[in-house]
Amino acid sequence: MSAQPAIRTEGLTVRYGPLVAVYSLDLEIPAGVVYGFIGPNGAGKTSTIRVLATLLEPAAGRAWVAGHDLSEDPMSVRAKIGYMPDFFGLYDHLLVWEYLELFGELHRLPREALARRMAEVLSLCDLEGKREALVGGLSRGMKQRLCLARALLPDPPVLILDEPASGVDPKGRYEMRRLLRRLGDEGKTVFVSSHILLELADICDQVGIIEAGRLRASGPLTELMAQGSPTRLLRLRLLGADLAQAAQLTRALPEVAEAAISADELHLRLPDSDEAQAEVLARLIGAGYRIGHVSEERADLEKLYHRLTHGELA
Amino acid sequence: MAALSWPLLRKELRQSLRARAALLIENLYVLALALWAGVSIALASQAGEPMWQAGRHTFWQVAHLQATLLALVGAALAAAAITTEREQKTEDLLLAAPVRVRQIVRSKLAAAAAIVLAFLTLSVPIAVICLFLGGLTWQEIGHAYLATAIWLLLALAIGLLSGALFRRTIAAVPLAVVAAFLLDLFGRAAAFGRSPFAALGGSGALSMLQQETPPAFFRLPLPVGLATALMCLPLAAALLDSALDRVRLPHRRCPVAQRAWFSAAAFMMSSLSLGATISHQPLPESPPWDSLLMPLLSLGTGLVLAAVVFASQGLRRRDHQALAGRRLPLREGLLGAGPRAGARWVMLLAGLLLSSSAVAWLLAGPPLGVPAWRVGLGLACLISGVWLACLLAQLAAFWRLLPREWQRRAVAALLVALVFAGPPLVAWRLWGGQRIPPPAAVVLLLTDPIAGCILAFDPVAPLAGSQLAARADAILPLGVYPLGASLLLAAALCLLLRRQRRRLQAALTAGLAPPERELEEADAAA
Repeated sequence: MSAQPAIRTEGLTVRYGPLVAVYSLDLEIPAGVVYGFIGPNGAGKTSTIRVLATLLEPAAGRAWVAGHDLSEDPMSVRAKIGYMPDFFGLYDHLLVWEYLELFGELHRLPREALARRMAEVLSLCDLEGKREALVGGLSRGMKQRLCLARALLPDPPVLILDEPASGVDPKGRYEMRRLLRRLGDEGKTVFVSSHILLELADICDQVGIIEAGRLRASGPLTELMAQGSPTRLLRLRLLGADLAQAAQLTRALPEVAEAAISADELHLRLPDSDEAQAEVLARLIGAGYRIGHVSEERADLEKLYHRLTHGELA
Repeated sequence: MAALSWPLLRKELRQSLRARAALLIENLYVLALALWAGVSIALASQAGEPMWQAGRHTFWQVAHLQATLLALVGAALAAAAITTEREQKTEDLLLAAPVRVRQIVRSKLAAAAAIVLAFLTLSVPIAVICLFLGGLTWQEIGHAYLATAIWLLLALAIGLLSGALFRRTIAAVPLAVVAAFLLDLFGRAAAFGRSPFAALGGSGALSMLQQETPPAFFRLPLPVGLATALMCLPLAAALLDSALDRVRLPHRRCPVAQRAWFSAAAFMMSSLSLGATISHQPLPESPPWDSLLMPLLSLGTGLVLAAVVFASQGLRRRDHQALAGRRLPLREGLLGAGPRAGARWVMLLAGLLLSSSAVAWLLAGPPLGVPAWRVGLGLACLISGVWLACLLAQLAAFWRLLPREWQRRAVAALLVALVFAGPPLVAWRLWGGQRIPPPAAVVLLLTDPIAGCILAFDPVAPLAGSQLAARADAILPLGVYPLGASLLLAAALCLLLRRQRRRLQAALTAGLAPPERELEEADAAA
């Protein structure tokens, strides 16, 4: 990872007349990470992305992408980013290769490099067989992949993707996630927004949570989880045991913050520590209980998100 | 940086030519030309005309037809080239690519021009047939094609403007087609006396084409035609450029600038049309430099309007800053501050100088020797036009601060004024420049009071008859009526701004309530 952040914003504010869509956003995203930008609809994700893609001028604040100031040198920024909006931007009357060639030439790729990159991105996005197909005839998933192929074509160091998997079937979503993780592993900075948390939970190195135009939290996922939720929920299925008695026993243990019975399971809330969990399980076994099944539920991105947001709109 | 983006040009051509409608339009166009030519030759043969005369008549008729049809096609193509990018949602992708907005605009314009000029070549076989029938020269044919090509560039500019004004193809294309048709009717057709309205006076439009000399439009002096096209195209492209540039500015809901552009363009178009009309009908006693008069006036008007358009852009940016929490100093005046303020002042002053010189030349100069009251009227028209333009620029800056109700009223007033500027021209043509008969004046008074009043009590009409007065009458109504309407509009706008002045000044001097403060207060409360 290089020292210079791939994306940096300082006090970035976006307005639409009296409406403040993004308010004083400070972001610093290191190069080579997959950054998930999460927020409900209307939170300001797309406005932020449009500023980063040089499509919108901020009302206040500054932003840098790949070391270039957005307001001073937008052309250099455009040359360094691969932008994928939250809709298909396709020309139905062009062939797939013509579509890619158009954007490759707009990025001034030399002819040989363009041919090589076109083959690479078509292969990466699983569209090799559709090279000569008319764009208008592609399926929705293929169109989505073609959009991504276009964004990847100039081999940009920074990818800015606005809800890249919206409207795609589950298989397509899975493939998109895998592809994004792969791009992150290859050293690209991927700035990806979504309001579907499951899409991002597995692939992101860092996340930012935005609501009502304001950044609620930002940083490495593990750190945010640790800060946000120091407990874990343990679900136990005890064989042939009186659950009420077991709950009473565990409530007396110092490690257990909360004990409850749900259907045929005993739910215990413990500190987020393996030591505490081992101690509680040892005490139960020592008291003669037979543990048929143990599952633990850690604080996940969804819980973190719900705790940090209040359901406000910008 | 190259002027054009070749990949974009190629894409535009591929897209346009692959569309299903392209094939249909091309075939219909060829069919229409072939049918017209066939019927014309057949009728001429039946009437016992010699072959060389039939060929000559057929060629000029086809030349007229293709100029009109291609103007409509070109305007529609140019308008759709912009709006379809918005509708396909590909506009953002182009703007996020390392290509400049002006390259995008120029490429689209070039593609539309290439297609229309390619269509123009479809009539070459008919021209060759007519040439072989005799009576035509290569030079005449070449000149006709060149004049038509210049005319088509104007139609493309209209299309571009329409594409910039509207977000939807369904709105932009009809407007472009109607505007191109009207300009064709009142500009090109009027320029060579082939307006259907002119034909109502006696001989039919077709019979007027049956003359041996080439129609005046196709004898358009090249420098004048080129100057006309070259003036119009950059302004249209600049307006479109600004429209696309505005995508990046968050205050997209400010429609007044678009309206101001539209009125500026309409004024320029009418001025160009006027210039083209008058400059090609020199009187026998006119000195040779007389033909330069109206292009000069057009150029001056164009420069004034361009200055106002750019000024309103500058003001809008500063208005945006004011809304972002900073104060907008009133002392910066109409043309604003910043690096381009000097250029705007130079354009405005040069335009005013040229326009006023041309008007003075036109109205008080030796070729015409018109009475002093006409000089006064002409100057009043010019001043009212500049006044209106200034007010529009101011309004563009302050638009957002006006209550919504006032915004709606102002737009309605503008549209009504524009609509009212047209009927007087139509009516005036219907009666061949004479005072209109009282029954018609009553009808006009009921349907269009302003037009009716102007035409019923027109001080210019009684002078009609002498050659000098006919010349003056050909000039003045075209300028007087739109500018008269603009005077009324300017008065209405002035009244509107006067009533809002206190509110505007309070908002600007006290600074607008910054949304940050509200947010901070909300934070503190939370």
